[in-house]
Amino acid sequence: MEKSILTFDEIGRGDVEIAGGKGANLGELTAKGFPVPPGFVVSADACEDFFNRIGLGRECQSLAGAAPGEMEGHANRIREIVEAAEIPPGLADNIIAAHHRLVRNRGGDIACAVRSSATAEDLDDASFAGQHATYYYVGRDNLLDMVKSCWASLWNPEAVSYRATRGIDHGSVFMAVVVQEMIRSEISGVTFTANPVTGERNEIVTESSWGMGAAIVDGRVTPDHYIIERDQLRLLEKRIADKRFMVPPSLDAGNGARLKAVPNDMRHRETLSFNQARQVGRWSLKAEKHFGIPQDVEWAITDGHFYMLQSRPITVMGQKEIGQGEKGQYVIFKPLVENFTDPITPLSWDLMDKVTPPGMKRIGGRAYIYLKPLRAILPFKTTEEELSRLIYEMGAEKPDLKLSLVKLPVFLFSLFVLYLLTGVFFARTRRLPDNFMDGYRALCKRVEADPAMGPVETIRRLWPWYQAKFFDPAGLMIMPVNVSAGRYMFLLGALQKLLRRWVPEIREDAESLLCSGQEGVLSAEMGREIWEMARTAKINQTVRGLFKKHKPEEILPALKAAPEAVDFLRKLDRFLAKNGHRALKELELQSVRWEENPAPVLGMVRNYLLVENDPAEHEKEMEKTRTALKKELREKLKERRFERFLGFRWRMINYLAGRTKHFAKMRENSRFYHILGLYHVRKKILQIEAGLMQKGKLRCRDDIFYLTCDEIEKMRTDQLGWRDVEDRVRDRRMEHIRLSKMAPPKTIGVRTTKPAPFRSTASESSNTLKGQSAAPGRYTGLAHVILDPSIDIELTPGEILIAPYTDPAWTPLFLTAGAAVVEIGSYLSHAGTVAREFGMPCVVDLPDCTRQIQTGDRVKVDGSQGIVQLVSEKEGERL
Amino acid sequence: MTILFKTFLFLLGLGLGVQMVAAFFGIIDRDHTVRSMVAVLGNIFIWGGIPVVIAGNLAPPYREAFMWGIGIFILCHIGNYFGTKAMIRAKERFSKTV
Repeated sequence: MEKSILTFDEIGRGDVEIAGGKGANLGELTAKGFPVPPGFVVSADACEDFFNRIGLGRECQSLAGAAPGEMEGHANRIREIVEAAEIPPGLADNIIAAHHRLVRNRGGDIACAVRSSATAEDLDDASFAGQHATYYYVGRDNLLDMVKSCWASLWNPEAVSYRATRGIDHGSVFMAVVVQEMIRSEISGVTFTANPVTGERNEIVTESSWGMGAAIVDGRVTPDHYIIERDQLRLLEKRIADKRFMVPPSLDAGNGARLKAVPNDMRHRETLSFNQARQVGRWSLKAEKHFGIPQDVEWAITDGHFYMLQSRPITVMGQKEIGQGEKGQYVIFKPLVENFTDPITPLSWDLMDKVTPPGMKRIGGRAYIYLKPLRAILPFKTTEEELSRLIYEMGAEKPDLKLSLVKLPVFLFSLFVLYLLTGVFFARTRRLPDNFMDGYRALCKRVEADPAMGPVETIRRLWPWYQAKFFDPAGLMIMPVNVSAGRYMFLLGALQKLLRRWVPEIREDAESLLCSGQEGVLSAEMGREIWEMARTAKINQTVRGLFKKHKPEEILPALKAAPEAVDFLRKLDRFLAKNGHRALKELELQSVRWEENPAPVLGMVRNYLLVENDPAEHEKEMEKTRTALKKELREKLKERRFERFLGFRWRMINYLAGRTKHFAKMRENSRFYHILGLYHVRKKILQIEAGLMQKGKLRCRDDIFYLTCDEIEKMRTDQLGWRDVEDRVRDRRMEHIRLSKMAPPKTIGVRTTKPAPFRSTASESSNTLKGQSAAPGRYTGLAHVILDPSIDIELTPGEILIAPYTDPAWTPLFLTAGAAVVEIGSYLSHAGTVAREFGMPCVVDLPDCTRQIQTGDRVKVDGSQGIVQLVSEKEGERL
Repeated sequence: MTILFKTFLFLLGLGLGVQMVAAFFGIIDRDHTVRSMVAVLGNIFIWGGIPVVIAGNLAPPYREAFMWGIGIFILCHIGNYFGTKAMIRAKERFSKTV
C-alpha cells in the first residue's frame, strides 16, 4: 500500500487518484496560498486496501450486473458490510495520530469535518454534489466510524445510480477521506464565478446564510442572494431571504438535532456586508484564475476571517428552462401563481391534486392548464398562441376571435352538459345571504377533532370540488362556491359594455367605482381590524413605543411583558381567533400561519402606525365620489330616449352593479374559508410531523412538505425510515430552491409567431415596460421595490410599490403607495382589486419588473394603458 | 313544428328541473343561514308550482316531452353524484395499482 495519510501540503492538483477530487483540490489551494483550513487526507489507496480486505470485489460485480430494481438492495448490502468491518489496526493508528497532530497544531480545541473525496468526484463534468457523506463536529472518539461512513457513502443509492448513468465502473472508484479542521462558521455560503442559471460570465453569484454551510447544501434554507459584476465588483442585485433555520457552529450538549431556528432579529438581516461580498468574490475569482475555468466555491467566515472550504468547476451552466422536453401545450394557471410566485412543495401539490378537477399538471413546481381539451371545445378559429393568450389574460385583452361553425355543436353540447352538472349549484348560490358559509368553521372543527381523518381525508372533506356529499349545504362546498361566484366577471363585462355604450364620456374607472365599497367582505374587514389594532397602539404611548423600538418578530414578547398592552393583546387574540389561519403565500401548506407566528400581523400594525391618513376617511371620500358618479350617471342617462319616463337603463345598470358586487363578495369570502380549510389540513400534517420527529423518522421541521402522501403513510406504518427518504428530501429541497429562482414561462409547448408572446417588453431607448392594466389612473413617483412584506415593510407615502405578487398581507402597503406595479397578476388579482378600491393606478403582469426597476428610480405608471416608464427627474406628480 | 316545440318543452323541462331541485335544496341551505323558512317555502312554491301549471296546461304529447325533460334532469343529477363517486373510487384504485 502507498502512503495512507497525506497532509494538504503533500498533495497537488494531479493527485486525484490518491487524494480524491476534493482532497487534491484542497491540497492545490493550500499550496497556492488560499485560506484553506488545515487537514489531512486518508488516501484512496487505504480505502482500496480496506475494500480488498473485506472482499468487496465480488459484491461490486454483482452490483454491476444487477437489474435497475435490484440495485438499491445490493448497494444497501455493501454499505452494511463496510460499516460493520473494522479498520485494520495499522491504518487506524495512523489516522488517530494524524488527527492528534492536527489538533495539537491548532491549539487543542477544535472539532473536525470529515468529508468524502471520491476518485471520480468533482470531475469537470460530474460533480457528485451532495451524494457522498460529510460529517461535522467529529472528535477522536467517532473519527474512525465517520471515515468508514464516508467510504460506505460510495454505495448510497443516488451515488450508485449517478455512476451507472454516467458509465463509471463501480469497482474503479475509491474514496479518499478529508479530515479537516471544522470552521465554526458564523456565515457560510457558495459562490459561482459565472451565473449558473443564465450562464452569464460577467456575473459572480453568491448565496449565503447564517451558521454552517450544510443548511444551504441540504436546501433547508433559502439563502441571501447577491450578484456582483465581475470587472468592477459592483453589486448588481441583492435579495435578502427569510432565513428560518441554521446549522449552528456548535452543538448543544445532549441535543441531537442539528438544525436550529435562526433568532428572530437575524432572520431578515443581510448576512454579508457589501465589502464581505466583494471579498468573497475576489477570492473566488482568484480560484477561477488559478484553475482556468469558472468555479463553484464553498466558503465560511468566522471572527472576520474568510476560509475557502472547496473550489470545483461549475458542472451545470445555463440550466434547462422549465417545461423543456414536456409534451403537449400548457398555459400557467394564473389564479394560483399570482398569489405566490414560488413553486408549490411536493406535499401541497400531491394533496391538491387529489381534489382538483383533471386537466392540470405541475411543471417546474407551478400549476399549468392543459390546452388541448380546451382547444377542442372552444368554438373559435384560433391558433395555440391566441388561445393561450385568451386563457392567460382571463379576457382582459380579447384577441380577434372568429367563430368556428364546425366546433359550435361540440361547444353547445359541452355547455349543455356543464349546465346539467352545475346548474343546480349555480341556482342554489344565486341569492343566498352573506352568512351562508358560516357553518364551514364548525365543519373544520369537527374534522380537526376526528383522529381518523388524515390530511387526505381532510382536504377531501374541506376542499370538495366534485367530492361533496349529496345533502351538504352550499356553505360547506367552498370551492364550488368560489367557481360559481366567478359569474361576476360576465356581469362586470356587461356593465362595462353598457356604460361605454350609453355614457361613453364617463370616467374610465366608472364600473370599478360602482362595484366597490361593499360591506361584509371578510378580507376588507380584516384590514379594518388591523387598522383598529393600530389605532389602539397609536393612542397607547407604551405600546406605540414598543412598536417603534422592536422589529415585528420581537414585538410580541415585549408586549406580553408590558401591563399597558393588555387591551392591545386582547384585540390581537380576537383578531387571530378569526383570521389566524391566514398567512403570506397562504395557498402553500408549508406557509406558517398567523396563529403560529403573528409577526406579519404585527408588521402590518407597525406599517399602519406609519400612515397618517385614516382609511375610514379614505372610505368616506370614495363614498362621496361614488355618490357623485351615480348622480352624474343618472343625469347623463336621462338625456337618452324614454329614460326620463321608464328609467330602464338606470335600473339595468343598478341591477348589474348590485349583482356584480354580490358575487364578487361571495368569491372573496369563499377564499377566506378555503384558506381556513387549508389551515386545518396543515394542522393535520403538523401533527403527523410531530409524531414522526418524536420517533426519529424525520429529523428536521418542514421536511415533511417534501414528501408525498404515499411516502408519509409508509413512514407512519414503518415501511420507510429516515434513511430511505433523506436523500429524496434533500434532492427535492434543492430542486425547489433551484426552481424558485426561475421565472415560470407563461406557456409551454405553444408555437408562437412573435418572438416574445405577451411578455413585458422593455425597449432600451424608451425605458418602457408594457404590462396589463389592473386599475386606471396615472401617477409619477419614486419606485420602492419590496420583495417580501414581512422583511421590508416601510413604504414612504407616495412611493410606487414594485412587487413580485401581492396577497392580503400586502394590503397596508397600498394605503401609503401612490401606485402599484406587480410582476404577475390580472384585473381580478388581489393587487388590481385593492388598487381599484383605493383609487390608485396599478399595472400587473410585468415579469422581472422587480429587477428592471430599482428602488429610487423615478417611474411613471399609466394604469389605464398598462404602461410603466422610467422617467427623468423633471416629471410631475399625479397627472 | 311539433318536433321543434317538443324539443323546446323538453329543454324547458330540464331548465325548470334545475330550478326546482335547487329550490328544494333551500331547506338544507337554510339551516346554515338566518334565511327565513317562509322564503324557502316561497321558492319551492314558485319553482315547484311553475312546472305543475305548465304541465297541467299542455296537451298530453307535449306534456310528455316536458315531463321527460324534468325526469331526465333529476336522473342526471342523481346519476352525476353516484357516477362521480364511482369515478373517484376507480381513480384511487388505479393510482394504488400503479
